[in-house]
Amino acid sequence: MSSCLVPRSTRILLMLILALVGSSLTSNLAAETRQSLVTADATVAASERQAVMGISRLGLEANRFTFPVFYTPHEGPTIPVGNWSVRISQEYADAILADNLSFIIPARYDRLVFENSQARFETATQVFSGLDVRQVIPELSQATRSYAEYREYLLDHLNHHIAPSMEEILGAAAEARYQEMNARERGTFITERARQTGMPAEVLEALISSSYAFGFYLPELRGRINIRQIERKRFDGSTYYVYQTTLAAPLKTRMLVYAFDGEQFTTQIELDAVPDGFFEGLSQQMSASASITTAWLPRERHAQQIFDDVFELSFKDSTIALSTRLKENRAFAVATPVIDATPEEIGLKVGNQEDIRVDQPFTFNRTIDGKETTIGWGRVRLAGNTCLILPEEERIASRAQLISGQVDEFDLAVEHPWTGVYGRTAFTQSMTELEIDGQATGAGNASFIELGFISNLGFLLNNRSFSEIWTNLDLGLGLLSNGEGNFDNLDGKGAIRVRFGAEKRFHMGYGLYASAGADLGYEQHNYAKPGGPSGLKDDFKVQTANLIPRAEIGYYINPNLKIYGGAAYNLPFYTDYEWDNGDSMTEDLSMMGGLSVQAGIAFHLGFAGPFASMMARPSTECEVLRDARLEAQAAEQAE
Amino acid sequence: MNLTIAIEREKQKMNTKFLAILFLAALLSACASTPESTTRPSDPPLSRQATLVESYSANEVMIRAVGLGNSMAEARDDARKAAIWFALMGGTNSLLTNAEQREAFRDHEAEFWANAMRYISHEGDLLSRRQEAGQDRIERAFRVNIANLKADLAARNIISDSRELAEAIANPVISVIARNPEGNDRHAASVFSEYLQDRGFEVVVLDATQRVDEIVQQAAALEGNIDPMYMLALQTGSDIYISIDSEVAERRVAGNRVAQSTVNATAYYTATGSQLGASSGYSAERAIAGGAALTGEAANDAADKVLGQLTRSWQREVQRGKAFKVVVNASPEIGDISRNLHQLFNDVCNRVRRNAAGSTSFDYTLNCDGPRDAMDLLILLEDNYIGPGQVFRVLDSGAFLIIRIGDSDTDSIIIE
Repeated sequence: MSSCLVPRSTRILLMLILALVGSSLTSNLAAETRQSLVTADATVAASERQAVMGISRLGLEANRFTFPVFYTPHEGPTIPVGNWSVRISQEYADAILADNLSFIIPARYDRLVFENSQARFETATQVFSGLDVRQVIPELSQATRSYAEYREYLLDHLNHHIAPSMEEILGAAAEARYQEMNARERGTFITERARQTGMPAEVLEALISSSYAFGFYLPELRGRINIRQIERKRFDGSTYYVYQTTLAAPLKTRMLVYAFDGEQFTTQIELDAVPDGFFEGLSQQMSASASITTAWLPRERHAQQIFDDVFELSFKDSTIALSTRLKENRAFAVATPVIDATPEEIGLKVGNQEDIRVDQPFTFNRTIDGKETTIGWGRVRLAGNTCLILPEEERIASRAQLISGQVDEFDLAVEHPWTGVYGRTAFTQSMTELEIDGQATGAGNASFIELGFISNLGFLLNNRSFSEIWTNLDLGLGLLSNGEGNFDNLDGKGAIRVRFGAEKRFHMGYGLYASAGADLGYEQHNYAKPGGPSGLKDDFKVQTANLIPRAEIGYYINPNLKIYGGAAYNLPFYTDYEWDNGDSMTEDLSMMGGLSVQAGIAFHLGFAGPFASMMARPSTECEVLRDARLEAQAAEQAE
Repeated sequence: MNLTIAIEREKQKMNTKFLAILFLAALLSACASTPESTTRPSDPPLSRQATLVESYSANEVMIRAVGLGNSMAEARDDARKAAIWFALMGGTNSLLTNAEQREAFRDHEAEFWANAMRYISHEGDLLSRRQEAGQDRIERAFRVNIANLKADLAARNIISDSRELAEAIANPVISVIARNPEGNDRHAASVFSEYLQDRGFEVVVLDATQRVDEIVQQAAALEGNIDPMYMLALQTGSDIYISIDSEVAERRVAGNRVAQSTVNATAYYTATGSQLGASSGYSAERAIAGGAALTGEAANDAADKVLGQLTRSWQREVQRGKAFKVVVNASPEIGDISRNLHQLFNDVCNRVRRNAAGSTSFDYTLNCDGPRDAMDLLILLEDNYIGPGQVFRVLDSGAFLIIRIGDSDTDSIIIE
């Protein structure tokens, strides 16, 4: 087995330090230690690095999954056609886990890796390798288990094989970790005059008695396979059929957080990547779906290829979701006091070392009458370079913009758990109009209910150039107005609209923003009018491709919820139309451009869903820099 | 025409009203957006909450203080003042030790508060930040420069300058004696020495292994005190001596050595051998190599406490007069001179205590206003002695005087 532990000063450590420091100053300070007197209390204390071990084996409930298969022939009803099975090998599952582990265990943590009879401890500035654990750590079993069995099995493994050597291993790195702590002693005799680190024993004891192990488990997958027969036309007008096979099987990965208290591990947190609500479900479905199109009717063996695609992306989405949920626990969220409260340039001493991305929201908290209260929030515009391997004077703090509320120097900025993705629903009234032979018909005004997703590209790509550029994907279902005057026998029916675009937002304070952007949209309008192929009133459809420049004003109620309204102009640049039976129409139809107005509400989603594939990996800049410096130091010493 | 004028007047009135409303609105808006400042720089601190973190050096102490205010800026200023307030009046070693000094300070305090930054040599990071009942409350650690504070207090005659004190009753000599010169005691003694010198005392650093003169041993033995450090102090002529010992306790935690140092210091008047202060200083328990830094940390802690006690006692000493230990050896042939001696001492000094006496040996502790050292006292005694024989000097050393009374001068004395 190889398991990797990634440390960062632990929750217990944080709690200890906060407890030591937390009490107010009064004349009765006998219980306070010197360490507690020179370190910050919970109201302004920056979070500390924690020690975490990521167990690199993905527990499996089953290694063979069976999905029902449904077949939908062209213009025919969907029918069940049996079950297909796919397999997952432990090696493949572990490889996918290892590939995505950095989303959950980025450089903000110190890492411990156990291999055979040795351990390696990586802090932000040091790597301690070849630490003897005095026993060969047995490999974790590949047997499939229920969740409860796996949780106990892992706990037992940790307590029997890892816990006995933890104290010593944590002790070996304690000095290095102390030097990376925010709460280290400064300005005192020991640090200034004696020029010693002088790690207090109470901090050492906390460091060696606190760390975490992260385990992952994949419950049995549930999903379905749909095979759809699709008719296509060749250039000569002849038709042929292709088969689109789609597998939708969202991974509801579970995460176990075991806490080490100095003696043993206990299960502390259990998380799962189960969607909360319709939009999250829809979002997760989108990352958990893959399809292939074949010219032949697929067989069971083709399902494996689709499954592998689904598994990779859906697992990534589930790790993003788990990482976000983990940050809801304060012990795993980054916190730092505000060092500069200029609303457009709020200074925060966190950055790439803590995996802070562009546009990451932070809430600004203040302890008011004994209770921590959020008084404002903002988004990071410049993710700082805070690699601890750099000398303090070379580090660059992050800069954030106040979005809503207020902020003052030394308010506590707390990382807000965020995926950068919102679901949204809106009502849109589009004032487009259908023209027939150059005459306005009065039909074509569409009233849409839209469902969509919108994501922050700056955050997803972790790229400053894309800060506050949002990309959206919306689906609208609507009703059309009827014809008027000479066209009063023209009936407007349903409409469908899909649009994809981007916008740039400009925040104006008080939670308000304005945005400008454009979409590319596809709309299909269905109408009925006399003179059709049947000689009676027949249905026909008008399909248009539109360029939709738009502007929007929105208001954030909180970082997770906003309302917005806007106006857009539909500019059709391609129109196609035909009777529903496929016959061409003799008239000349076109859609006129028109204004549309929209009002909606958007809410944060815990899954990146359709945008999961775009999510850039956490920065490894600090680790690369650390390794390069350590190598250079080793080379210097060798000389 | 009249109508036009009336309209114009009405317009002017309207404009005036509009401007007045605008001005009022602007004023109200300004009042609403700017926190009302209720304190002036020269005001005393609102907060009186602070605690001593450590004695950083002979001249600086680190104090964690609470600041209160209607804004962060006010709270920050208030915390500085609270730290200074603590140094002045708050701790056990406060600079203003009595009601008179505090009363005198009141006349000058505005100046001190307004110039708070003059006494802050280092401000640490903010350690706490809260809002309570609409008021900002912060905590911060400050290094307060005690030497600057003292100098300014002395310049305004709020306290006496330690150098002036020294001059008033002769320059006091303090021996700092390390019990174990091989261990960390010597290092601790150096820290004490630094404190004493910075506070205007004359210092001699000794170690307990130094040889003590036989005559001093005899003189000390008369009173029954055979502590070698006491005898060393007598021999050196110090007015006060401080004995220092230190200990470093260590253990191993997860492969790391952790250690804590304790420094014990006891200060005595050499003349009387009576204790004038005692304290122990502790370092934090730390993972650290060696013990010197920890001993330094503990010694700082102990020195600050003991020197506080010493300073207060020294000020009381000024009132009583300088203390001397006087050992007298009388020649057997001149008979009983105990009454003559007692009368002599009562004549030249304002406080006389007989510690021990035999038929020919006498041990006295005297508090005298006039003499600055043992030689001055000897002259006084010679001039004022009435009785058989003469006063001869055997040994004088600071506050320690051995005389012989007899008919002839001889180097040898026998102390019973």
